Amino acid sequence: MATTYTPPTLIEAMRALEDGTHPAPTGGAGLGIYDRRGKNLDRRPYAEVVGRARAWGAWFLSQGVKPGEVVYLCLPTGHELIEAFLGASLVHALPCNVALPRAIGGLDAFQRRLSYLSDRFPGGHLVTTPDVAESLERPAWTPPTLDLTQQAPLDAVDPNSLCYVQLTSGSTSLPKAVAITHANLAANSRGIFVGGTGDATRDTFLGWLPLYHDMGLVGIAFTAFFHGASLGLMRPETFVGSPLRWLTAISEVPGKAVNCAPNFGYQWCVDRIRPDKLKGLDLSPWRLAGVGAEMVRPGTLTAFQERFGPYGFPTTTLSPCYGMAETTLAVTFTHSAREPVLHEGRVSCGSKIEGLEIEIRDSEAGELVEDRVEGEIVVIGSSVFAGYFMDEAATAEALREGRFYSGDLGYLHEGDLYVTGRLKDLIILDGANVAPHELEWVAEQHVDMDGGRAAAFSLEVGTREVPVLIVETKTAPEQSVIDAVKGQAATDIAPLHELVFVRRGCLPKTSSGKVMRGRVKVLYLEGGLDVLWRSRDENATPKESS
Amino acid sequence: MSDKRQKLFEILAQVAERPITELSLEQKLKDDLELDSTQALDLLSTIEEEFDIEIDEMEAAKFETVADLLAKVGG
Repeated sequence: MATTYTPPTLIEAMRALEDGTHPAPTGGAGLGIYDRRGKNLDRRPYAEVVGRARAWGAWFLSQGVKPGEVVYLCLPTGHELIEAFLGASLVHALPCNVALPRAIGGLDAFQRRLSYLSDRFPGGHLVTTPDVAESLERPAWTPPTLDLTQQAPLDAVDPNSLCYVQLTSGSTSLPKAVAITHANLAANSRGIFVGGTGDATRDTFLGWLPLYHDMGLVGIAFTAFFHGASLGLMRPETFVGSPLRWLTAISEVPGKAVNCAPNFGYQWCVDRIRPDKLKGLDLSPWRLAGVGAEMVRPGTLTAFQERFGPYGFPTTTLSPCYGMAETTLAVTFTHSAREPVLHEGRVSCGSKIEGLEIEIRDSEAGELVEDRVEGEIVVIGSSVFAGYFMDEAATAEALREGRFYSGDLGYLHEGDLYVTGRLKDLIILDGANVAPHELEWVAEQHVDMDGGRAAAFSLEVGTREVPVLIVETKTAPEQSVIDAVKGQAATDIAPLHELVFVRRGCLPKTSSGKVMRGRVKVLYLEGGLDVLWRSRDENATPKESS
Repeated sequence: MSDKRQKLFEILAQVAERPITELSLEQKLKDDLELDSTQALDLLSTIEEEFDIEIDEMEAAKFETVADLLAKVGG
């Protein structure tokens, strides 16, 4: 696919799709949005999408939005969100997608998330739905009735200028903000498209991931958009409520279907679609199914293939991949159509995408290690982010001499990357990132820790990661405190698999006083903590699955 | 028990993986039934489909108890 054209910036992509100069045959291509039941696609050709984005751009200018200012977009998956995103980027503001309030008791956490963002990154603007805007104390815009006669110009932009801001987690309270340039986005979407032998005449990208998730935004929406391939999006709740809707939509695409999702999405299909509902389903159009954003589990791939193979799902469609917000999205991709490859029980995440290099470095000495030796995954190249937005310290720690230190552990074998674990204490729940300090902060809000510390980590239970929170106190707390911690964790982040109060001073710490979460986890599993109170009884003590 | 309440409890029992006899109107969906965010989406989407109603984002965010859900489905 040496002839694949990738516009150098998002604005150039808009221009080429609007005036028809994009060499991909984009005549019929566009963005379709499924209704809430996963049916009735509302389609707009890309030229119309861009025309509306330009009207959004003109509206942002009329509201006084300045270049470099952040525009938070808190809207459901839909035409408005994509067009507002493009419009903000067009006038050199920095669009940043934020999750809507979570279903069931999510309002307080949402308010905290917005407060954190406005304190941390002052001077931003917010566009959200009328209902959400009404519930907020801070000012917010709602989507205007666009004046399509007002069109922001499609001026050329330096590819190395910032294009948007990606939150490392769009749905928790204390995310990091990753600054992505136009060149980053162009390079990564090209790497994914070319790596997956994309073809705009044949492929429809069809996803359900939210657009505040980097895999939804880059892996599906912008990879299709940059290359003039058709795009179909459904809301996450449409998929979660009935994953069969996603598979049905795939079976109905003209040509071939391409998409990506976390491991969770494929497991959800296996767990939730009743075999008797599959009769007549034809999954043979499903050409490529990226699996990433969390640890790829061999059992999920096998179960998915066994369940859906009889309905035409090709054996070479599942394509494990690896990436993160700091590399725009993808680092590796399973390039050639092949069945998933295992090495010593681990799934290959494929090989590096175009424009990137991978090094495996000793996680302590920092030196390069040989093939099949585990070390920290370090990424170099065109889709490595510009830095954390307004956070020089975090940038200096993660980006050194042009290298991004991922904090993930893995090894290379025959050119393929195998991910083995995490050096950083990140928790990934159903594909969503949660930093441990976000859970620990919940404890600090409610518990009189008397100078003690908290430690959060995840366990693998079945096919999922679940969070555990350990809190140091002097004495076992009142039931009301326990309820408050469990309640806020459940509404802000996720229900705790277990909450444990331990005697102050029993958590291992570094000489500088930082809690060593990995060691805490080992002690927890071995029963080596001085427990004052725990939320599970002895019979329910969790075990890590093998 | 009204038909709607019975139907709601059946959906809730399935999503929350609890016996229907353990469910009550006063229970908090997150604190008591320990629904995670995926289960919450699953629950509301199933209610939308089974009761043929639409629940917008703000309504969804404001639900706290089983009684809130019953009020929404008109039971």
